[in-house]
Amino acid sequence: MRNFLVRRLGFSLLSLIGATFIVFGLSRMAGDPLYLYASPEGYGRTPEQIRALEQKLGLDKPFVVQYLFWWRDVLRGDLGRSLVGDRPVTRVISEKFGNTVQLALAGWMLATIVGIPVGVVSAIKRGTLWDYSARFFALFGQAIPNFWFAILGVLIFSVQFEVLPSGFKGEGFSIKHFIMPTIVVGTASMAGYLRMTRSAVLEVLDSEFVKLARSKGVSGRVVIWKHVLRNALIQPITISTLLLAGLLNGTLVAEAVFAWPGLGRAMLEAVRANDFPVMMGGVLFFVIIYIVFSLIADLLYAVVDPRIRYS
Amino acid sequence: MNRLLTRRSGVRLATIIAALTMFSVAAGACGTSGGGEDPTQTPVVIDRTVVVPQTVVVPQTVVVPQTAVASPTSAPSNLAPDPQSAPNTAELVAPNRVGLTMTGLNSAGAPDGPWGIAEGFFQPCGPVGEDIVCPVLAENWDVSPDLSKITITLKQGVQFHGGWGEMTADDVVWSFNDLISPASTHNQSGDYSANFGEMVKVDDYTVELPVSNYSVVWNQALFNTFAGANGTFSKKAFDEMGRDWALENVIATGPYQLVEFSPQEVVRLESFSDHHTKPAGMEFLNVRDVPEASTRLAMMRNGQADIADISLNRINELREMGFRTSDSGKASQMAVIFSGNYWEQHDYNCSVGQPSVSCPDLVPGNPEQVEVERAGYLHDENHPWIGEYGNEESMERARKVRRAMALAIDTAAINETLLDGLGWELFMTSFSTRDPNWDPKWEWEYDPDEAVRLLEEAGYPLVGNTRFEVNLFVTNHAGGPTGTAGEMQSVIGAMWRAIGIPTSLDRQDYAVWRPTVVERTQSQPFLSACGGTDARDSVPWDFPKGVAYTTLSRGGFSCAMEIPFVLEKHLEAATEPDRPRRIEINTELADYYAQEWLVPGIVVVPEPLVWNPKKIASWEMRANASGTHIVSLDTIVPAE
Repeated sequence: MRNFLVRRLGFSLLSLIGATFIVFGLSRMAGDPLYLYASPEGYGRTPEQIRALEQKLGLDKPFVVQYLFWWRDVLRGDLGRSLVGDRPVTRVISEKFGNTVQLALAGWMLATIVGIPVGVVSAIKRGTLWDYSARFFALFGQAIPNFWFAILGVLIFSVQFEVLPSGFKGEGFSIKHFIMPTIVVGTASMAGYLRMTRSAVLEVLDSEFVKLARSKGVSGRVVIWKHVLRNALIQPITISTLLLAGLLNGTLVAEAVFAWPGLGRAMLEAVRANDFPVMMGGVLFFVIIYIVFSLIADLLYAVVDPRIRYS
Repeated sequence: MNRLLTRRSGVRLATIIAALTMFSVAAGACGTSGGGEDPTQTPVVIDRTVVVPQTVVVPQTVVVPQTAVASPTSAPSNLAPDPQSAPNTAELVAPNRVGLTMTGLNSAGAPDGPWGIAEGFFQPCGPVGEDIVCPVLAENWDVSPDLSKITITLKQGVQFHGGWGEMTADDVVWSFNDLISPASTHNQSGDYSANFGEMVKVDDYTVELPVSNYSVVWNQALFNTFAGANGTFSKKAFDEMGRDWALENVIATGPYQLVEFSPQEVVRLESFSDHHTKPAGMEFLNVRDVPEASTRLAMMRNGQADIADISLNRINELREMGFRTSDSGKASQMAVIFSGNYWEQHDYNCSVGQPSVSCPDLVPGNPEQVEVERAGYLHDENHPWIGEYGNEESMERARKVRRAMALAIDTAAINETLLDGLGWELFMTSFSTRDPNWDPKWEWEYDPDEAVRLLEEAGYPLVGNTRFEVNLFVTNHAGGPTGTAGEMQSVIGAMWRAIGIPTSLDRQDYAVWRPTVVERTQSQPFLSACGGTDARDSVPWDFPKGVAYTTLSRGGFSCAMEIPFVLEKHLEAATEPDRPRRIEINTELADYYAQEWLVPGIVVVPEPLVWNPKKIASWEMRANASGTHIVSLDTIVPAE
């Protein structure tokens, strides 16, 4: 296990460096960051101003040196300051991340609470209307584009029936403001859960030990709850952590359509403005989240399935 | 068993059919442009063929409204939804790109001035057509005879928000000098510092402004919320609370004070009761960042929002629902800019002893003739719109090509189809057809046959389907490549293709393209409202025009051409104190533009805001030519 952890840490570090290096390079290639400070048809900046800004932002150094300096600051806990707002990047992230967590968690809970049980039912009642309905729902959930689904929801529930707000997060905790964004965020994951669970249950249902249990006269309910589910849910449970990590990184569409003030939108605006300190801070943050969650998934796998041992 | 299988098969078949049907509906809906924006779209360079119907219905006459505001015919106001906000509060929704970063204190993109939070010396007196120069923080001003300095007497008794005391010269001087400081992030810093030096305090209510490049419109452009955005902030608050605090707690003097600022979420404003003239009409105003156009539309329709920035092609629909519109006059004059005509040989700045990018080591005051680098000056067969200055044959040939490319564009159809008829005519950039000085002799009509004749005459016969090729870029005006301007680009490309000019639609990011015009390497036409205030339809006729079309702007943005005649007229107008004479000078410039076809107009694209008449009784916006169309928030009159 120790060797496994050390290896994982090494790979994680490489991923971190690789991802941040790529984004660092892309942000430099996307145009002059100083352009942000010149009005589009304005005079621009005087040479003196350009020199001063380059010094202030560290752009006067070679590319690799800038990248290393960035890592030096990161290790000191300083992610730099946003070019647009001149605010600490750590503050930008901390302000927005909570909102993203709320939305991602809500979507994840919906996906888990609905997706797994429906997947189980679909597998148990294979070939019936339950099964076909569930599979249709899974197809719908995975095929439908998020942004279209979100806009359709706004049109129907906000404009036509006026039962839900069109956007924003609302003051405090407002359940009405959560409903549509949560459904949009959770639907694709729900569909994924459903299919995965159904496949896993079907696989276990057809296994020899289940047939043996049935032939010994064990009741159907006991077979399902005691034998099938315990084995079938290994994969969905371990995948759920990766799913959550994916949702934390991927609520952008819902945030944009519903004007949800999350980190995804902040990153989108940073990309638009070539605000590279925020981009770098955000990428670092998201990669760390993914690394941590994938490690948790692997460890969970070993806990849930005694056949798995890392050496 | 067979019945079971049949039943199962039937259910399975029904499910599959239903699924395919839903999938088809979803796929079809994805392909329609329902007004939504894809926030993840990344601009890319594309080359595509656009199919345009062979016949286009062209109205024989185009009625141009006499007023600057798009015709406000609306259905009865009681059709509008009931507002969800509190009676003394208005909710305004707009996408972030209009400046909702709102960081204040001379930071990049801060809309403190237009939003009525921070004030400068002057502001427009009223809507388009009224005087632009109404004193706000300035009471009197005096320009020295040698035009080297301006002395300004400040208004007394002006209070800062939050009880931070009275505004004095210390605050004004500090605010301005911070704006032009070398490390300033204010995005007009370069514009100010190119023309003025550091401000100096004379006494508590008098300041002196050194001038390096005098322009007669100094109090209409840069020091006026009409086109500039310098605000006065409390130095005391900054000194006591620090920069980080001051960035988010903007302490200024405007009719609105900032109550809360959450980036990309909301800006909460409250009417400032101690304002030196008149507090804002609407007691509370929340400006919210809503990036998705469909969502903003939905919010208006269900009453969640009271004011919104809505796509132009949905305005008429909302008017029929009882909504109203207001317009500050900040309409973009979209024109085709025929890049590459860099006809000036020397950098004018160096010629008058001013250091420039062409002569960085020049000692100020020591004129020097310095030849400019103009890599984009490609007067060859592949760039037929570029003429060789001094070679009359080349110039005439290029003129014919430019004229032909202009005549091939059905501008009326563009207005009717893409702007739902809400735009109005434009025949050349910088000169509005709504101005009383406009002369109908400058007008021209869509004539593709004449365009073909001119191209043949210029020596560009059709070979296969091609006379020559063109790459057409579009800037971020009027919605940019993903909005109305992008649609215009596609349509123009198709119209040029129809007369034998295959056109690649260049969709690269503006930040990547901009250096080519700064460095004068750009040689391909582009679609733009180019030249800053030059291309805002609300700008008065007598404003000195054309800086971005000359070497005066070397080192900064340009419209990818440098024209000696434009330089001459600009310099004349910039120092001419007599307004009628400035009008004459610019009329000569209009004659020149009409004759040379360098900047043929397409259409003027207005930017109105939609509002709910059950929340707002009236909203007369002041004239505006700044970078944002969300202005004059303080002139909103709440409904009873």
